[in-house]
Amino acid sequence: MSTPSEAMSGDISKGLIGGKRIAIIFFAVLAVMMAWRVYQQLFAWDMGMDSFEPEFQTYWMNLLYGQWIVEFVLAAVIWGYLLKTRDKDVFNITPQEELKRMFTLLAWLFCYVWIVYWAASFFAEQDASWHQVTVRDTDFTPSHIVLFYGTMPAYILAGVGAFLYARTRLPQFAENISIPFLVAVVGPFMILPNVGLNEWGHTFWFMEELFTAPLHWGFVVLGWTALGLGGLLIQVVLRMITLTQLDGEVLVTEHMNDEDGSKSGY
Amino acid sequence: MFNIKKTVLMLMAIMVGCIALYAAPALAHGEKSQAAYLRMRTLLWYDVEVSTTKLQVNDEMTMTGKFYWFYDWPSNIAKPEVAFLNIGIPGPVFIRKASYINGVSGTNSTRFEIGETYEFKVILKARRAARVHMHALMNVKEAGPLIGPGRWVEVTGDMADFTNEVTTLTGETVDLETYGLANAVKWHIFWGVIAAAWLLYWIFQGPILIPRYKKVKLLNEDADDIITPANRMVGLVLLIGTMAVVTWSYYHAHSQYPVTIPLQSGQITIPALPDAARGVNVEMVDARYRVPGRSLEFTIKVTNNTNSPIRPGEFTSANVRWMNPDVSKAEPADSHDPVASNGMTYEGGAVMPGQTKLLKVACTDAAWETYRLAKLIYDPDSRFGGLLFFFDEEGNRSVVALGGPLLPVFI
Amino acid sequence: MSAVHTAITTAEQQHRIYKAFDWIIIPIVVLVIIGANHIHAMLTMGDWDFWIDWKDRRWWVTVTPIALIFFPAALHYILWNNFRLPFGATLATAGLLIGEWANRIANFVGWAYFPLNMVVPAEIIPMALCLDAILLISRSLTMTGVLGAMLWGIIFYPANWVIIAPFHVPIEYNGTMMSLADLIGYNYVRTGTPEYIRIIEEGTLRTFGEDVTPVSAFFAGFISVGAYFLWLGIGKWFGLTTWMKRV
Repeated sequence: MSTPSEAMSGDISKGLIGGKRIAIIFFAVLAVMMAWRVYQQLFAWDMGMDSFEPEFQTYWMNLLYGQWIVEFVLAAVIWGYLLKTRDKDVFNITPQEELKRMFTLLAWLFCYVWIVYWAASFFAEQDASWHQVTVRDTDFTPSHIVLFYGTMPAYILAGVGAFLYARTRLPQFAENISIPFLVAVVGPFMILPNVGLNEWGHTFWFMEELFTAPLHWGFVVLGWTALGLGGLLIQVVLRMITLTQLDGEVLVTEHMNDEDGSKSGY
Repeated sequence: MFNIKKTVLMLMAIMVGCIALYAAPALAHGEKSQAAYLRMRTLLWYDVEVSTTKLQVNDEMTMTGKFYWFYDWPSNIAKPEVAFLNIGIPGPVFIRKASYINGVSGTNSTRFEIGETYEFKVILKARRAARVHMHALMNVKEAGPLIGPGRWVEVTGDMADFTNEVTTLTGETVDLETYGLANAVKWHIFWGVIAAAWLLYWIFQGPILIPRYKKVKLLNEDADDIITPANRMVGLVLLIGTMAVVTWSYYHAHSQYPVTIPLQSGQITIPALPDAARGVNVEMVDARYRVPGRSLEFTIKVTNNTNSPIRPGEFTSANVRWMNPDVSKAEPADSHDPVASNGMTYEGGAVMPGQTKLLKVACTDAAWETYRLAKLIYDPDSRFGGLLFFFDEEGNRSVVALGGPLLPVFI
Repeated sequence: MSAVHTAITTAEQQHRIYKAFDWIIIPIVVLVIIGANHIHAMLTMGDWDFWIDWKDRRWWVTVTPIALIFFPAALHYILWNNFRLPFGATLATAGLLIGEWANRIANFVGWAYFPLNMVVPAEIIPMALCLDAILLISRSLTMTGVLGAMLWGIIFYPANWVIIAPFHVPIEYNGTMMSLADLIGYNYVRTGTPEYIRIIEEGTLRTFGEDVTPVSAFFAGFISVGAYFLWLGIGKWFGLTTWMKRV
């Protein structure tokens, strides 16, 4: 994802999105998610109801171990690659290059939020259709193996990847750390450790399958942090304004009107 | 060359194929995960039977049995102040047509007494083709699910043939499988279209992000001027229109369904069955679990206040049954029915009417391991419990609950 | 300081880039809103939303509008304040419904085999349209908070009654009177969801006559007003463009 795949014959304003790479991200993520979902359809009711049966070990625990291995390898490869190939001359790139990279960052973010959709919406609510219907007899249920140990590490891979991309290739992000970006990546990341609270609660404290139980509110608060992308959006917009300023155009900045008191939002 | 479209189409075709080919057998377990002392000292089920194990979609079956709320209820488990008789099946393979506890309808949640016995009956109607391990199950508020014995049941046929027709008190006959769905979908589509139109109205004034941000900053205090009178008129129409449709739909629904009731949430209390011990008293003297032999051995002082000599014929706990075939015979109903047909032996002979005597009972079977009951000795509370069945000469049964500390014997 | 920093020279190029920016940002915003709002919603009011036999006159009516105004308020702040775009509430609710419908069909029906009519989500778009429209007309987040958020809470139940009324028709079943919603909940076995787990109206000696729903709706509206302003603030915080040298 380091360069947009469409050719940019001269005019920098053309082909910035890179339709092809967006399509590849879209379908690749979709394929992985569908594979998980089909696997559940085939083996959840059949092999996933009793964690003490040998077939549970075969079909579900092995999937879990496989996922862990793949996730660690991917994290090492992707994050390692981004760090290793960082732009050592990042503060001297041309505005054109920066514009291109800005859209590559947006492609990374697209990948991130597309996985966030599957994790936080599709597979998260699916968890209700499993646990409110069955008897929970292990922390590693067919829905948890996919949700907590599959889709969540997947968006962490992409989210941290996006953050590292910006940190190593975009001057503004290399110079300073974007707090909203950090919030929007670290907050959802913390959902994974919060699983510890979840399993502790379900084991020792809360026996009912109630989705709205306070036990789950850690996930809620950490889910809110995805809104940090709002702050990042404004940061990106401001930079885009600079990068696309026309000759003679007034440069719009965030605090351009500040001398007569900060603008109230209400 | 890698062709995205073709690959995606192929993947989708494979997925659809997999789903279409998928016939759904299913397990319904989970009971083995619970700690042994909890399974042995909470709800003890017995006499659980199903009327059939093979049926077609739309056929009905009945599950019957009894459960006893163990007298030495673990203090860390919530008492059955609120409980609900349920069925352990993987999703609605069956619908529950009726359930009864001591003959009273089990639609409501119920309060139960510790130390008492109740009988139950659940009538189920097959809905979806599947092979399932179906369990009797009791949900206890704040305690969780207490799982009873299970049976493999196989449903064949097509779910499309399933209907669930009922007649309301207003005289309408409806199929609950689809009732009210078309109306709900219609309204969701209606509002969804309006929402989409509203969002697109703004998006197609685009590009909307950077130019509008710039205008907001440049106009500063007059930033609201970005909103045109036409925009506001659209907003007004939207507001009035939405309120009008909501109001109309509300009164329309009222006129269509003039008789409605709130959700029903009452709870009931059901009297228990008479004491199943029928005059037999048992006192625990000593109990040991022999690890190498996988055998529970206990000595009890039995007092027989009935009119007939009695002998122990069965010990049951945590849905496992140890039978003394000289007195009472039972065979496993299927591959997952833990019945040790020759599992129980005892010393001491029959207890005569009026007599008090020591009996030494041994319950031996691999089920102690396979059903994770031997783990009891590693539990945070290693007291056990169970039901001992005595039979007299005429075959009358006395069910006596017993339990106490359990000492392991490792050598 | 302009020419050195800019990557383009013509207005046409600028317009094209602005359009490209929209085309990539809008899907990102939509997806993240579906994901974040859905996990928030399912864990704060989800049980009421999943099942038809939870949609009662007291708790469902109270909890749902309050829980669901958080994201609309935050989005109102970010989108209105920065872009003067008044569709935050509709975006949040329509996005949530997309996530809910996808899951109900694919998983509650497609995996667990419940009938779809048992798991239809609550209708929440009309409230959002009103909230957005009031923002657009008044051009004031304060007015929107006071009037719109109140309306948001109040019209939730009327807007849903047309969908759930059929399920509140009474039936006699095994000697007990139930609503069809109760009966569906009883018929379609949920092993992990016993009857008593429902948090629904049980009645008190003060629930006079028929006014359970209006009382709940007004209370929901009142709290929604407070929640709206709180979440304007939280939206403002999430929308801050803070940069730091070290963290």
